[in-house]
Amino acid sequence: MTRPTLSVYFSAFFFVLFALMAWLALGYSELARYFPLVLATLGAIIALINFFKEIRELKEADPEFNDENSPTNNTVSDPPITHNFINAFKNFLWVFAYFILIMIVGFLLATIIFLIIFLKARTNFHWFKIIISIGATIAFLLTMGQVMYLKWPQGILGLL
Amino acid sequence: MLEAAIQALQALLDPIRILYMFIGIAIGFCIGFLPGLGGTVGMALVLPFVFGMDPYSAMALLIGMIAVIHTSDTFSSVLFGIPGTAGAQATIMDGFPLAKKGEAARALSAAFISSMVGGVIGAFVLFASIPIAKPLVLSFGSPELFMLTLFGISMVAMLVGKKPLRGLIVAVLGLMLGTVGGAPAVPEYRYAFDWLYLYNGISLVVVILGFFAIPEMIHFLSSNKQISNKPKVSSGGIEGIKDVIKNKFLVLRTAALGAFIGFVPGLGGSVIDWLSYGLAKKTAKNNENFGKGDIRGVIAPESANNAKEGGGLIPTLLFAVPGSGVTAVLLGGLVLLGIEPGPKMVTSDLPLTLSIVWTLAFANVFGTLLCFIMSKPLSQLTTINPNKLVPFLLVIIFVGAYQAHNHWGDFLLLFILGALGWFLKEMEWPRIPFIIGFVLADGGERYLSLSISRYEFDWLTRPGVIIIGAMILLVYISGPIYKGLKEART
Repeated sequence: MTRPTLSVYFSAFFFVLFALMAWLALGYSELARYFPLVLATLGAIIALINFFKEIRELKEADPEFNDENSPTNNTVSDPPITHNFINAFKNFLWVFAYFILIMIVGFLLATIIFLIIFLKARTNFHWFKIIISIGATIAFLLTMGQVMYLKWPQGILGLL
Repeated sequence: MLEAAIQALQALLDPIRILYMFIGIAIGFCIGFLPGLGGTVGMALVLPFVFGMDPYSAMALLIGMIAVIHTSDTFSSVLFGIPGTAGAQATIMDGFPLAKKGEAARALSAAFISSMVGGVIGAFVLFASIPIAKPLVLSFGSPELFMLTLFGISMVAMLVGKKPLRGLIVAVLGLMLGTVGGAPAVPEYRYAFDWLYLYNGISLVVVILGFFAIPEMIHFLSSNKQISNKPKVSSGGIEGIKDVIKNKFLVLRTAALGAFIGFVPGLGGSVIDWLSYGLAKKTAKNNENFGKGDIRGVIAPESANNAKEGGGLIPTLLFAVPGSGVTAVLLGGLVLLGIEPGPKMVTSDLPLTLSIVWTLAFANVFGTLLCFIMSKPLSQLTTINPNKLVPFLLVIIFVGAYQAHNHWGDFLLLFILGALGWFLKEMEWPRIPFIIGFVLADGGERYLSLSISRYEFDWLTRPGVIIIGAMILLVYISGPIYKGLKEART
């Protein structure tokens, strides 16, 4: 899979998104509707034009673009993104895991768990350094919470 | 007025007031440095403590803080590619690439000096405008404000990159996201899906952190190497100062633009840095390095966003019309102190107004000094292994997003927008047009709606509209004309 191929799918996604937003806008009153309706229609048109343009560019670059296993699929200027993408996706999962943890166990506890696992897995920090780092972070969060009157979310389990 | 200015200076030089100003500078430094926290948060934090203070001390504290936020917000923009506040978005365009090249100290130095000059120019504009501001402010109606918004949106065309259609799609998506929440013309909610959190629209802070910060964090982790390509951060402080001197007219031009836009109520501070960046790129010679680490791309927005504070205080103090969230809270602070913003500020309360001018100028100078002192140690952060830095930055980013509404929806949106921003980055689609579209959507719709309901289509013939329209055209045709003339000469 190359970036241009993914961009074609992405353009199609945007076309559907804008079309959906335009359809939703039709349900609003006249004064609330005109701005989002005009914008969404415009967006859908541009996305559609871009969709065909990207397909044309893809065909021009490689006539066998439909065959993903073809060795000629990827041009020199557009190398496969699979390797980098998977690596980046793994790191994206860390962010996702932190977010899910917050939703389940609450912000403070999620931060402690996330930092312990991340620092242990990805750095050469010893336990002492990890504990000091987490202690400083929690102290910072508690101070921020006090000063800014923030009530940290407790998560589904209603813990910390 | 000169006598009143000296009187105000004497009042400010009282040791207690100077101390309050330095406390304000220190708070402003921290707020600007932490991504996601902006001037409005700072004002909200400090405001409860000013109750009962004498007005001069209170203004020294509040203005001291406001003045420095847009200087210290440069740190995270340059060092991590995360805008410190909404007003430092454009700085990342060239500041972060410079940090990657190991020239963080140069970028920071140039940013601080241009911020200081911009801030002092803003203070001067505030001082000079006291007798003449009223007719100017009153000449701006909704049609002119809409045209200025259009001016901002037109900047998208300069920042879309090599594939303009992709940039336009992303800009329209930003505009669409800006329509989420209450419609300006009628009491109706759009794209809220009966979720109370979305009734007030989406917070700019969450959008910025999601779109810029989360993708950058993933990128750091994936690259598994420190931000700076060089193991040691070069000491380019002097070089940065030389850059500012070399581009002195750019500093002056963008500071004047910042003060002017700040002076126009309702346009929003987040637009200024993009406008100044776009204009700098459009009018600069040899602009092919913009976006890749051109120092002029740092100087222009930094100069403008500090200058806007002086401009923004004009309508707030003289007509009680706040131009932004920060000045709206400041207005509340003035009322809390028993001061009535309005014409009195240039008659019986003139010394207080002038003390604000002095504080703005002093705080910019001292804030810059503080930033200079801190720039070397903070620049070292770019040489740390990302695995040791990113988890802590992620925590700060989540805190920054959560303080927007204190709602779990902030986390959810941060994550969704972060995923979208990351995907756009991976796909090499531009992300900047999205932010410009988002920032300008609300103002654009509001002012267009007001213009049509009040004037139908006659608003198109108003002199201000024609002048701003001509300015937009001029920006677009000046480049090709200049190139044509240059080619004809050679």
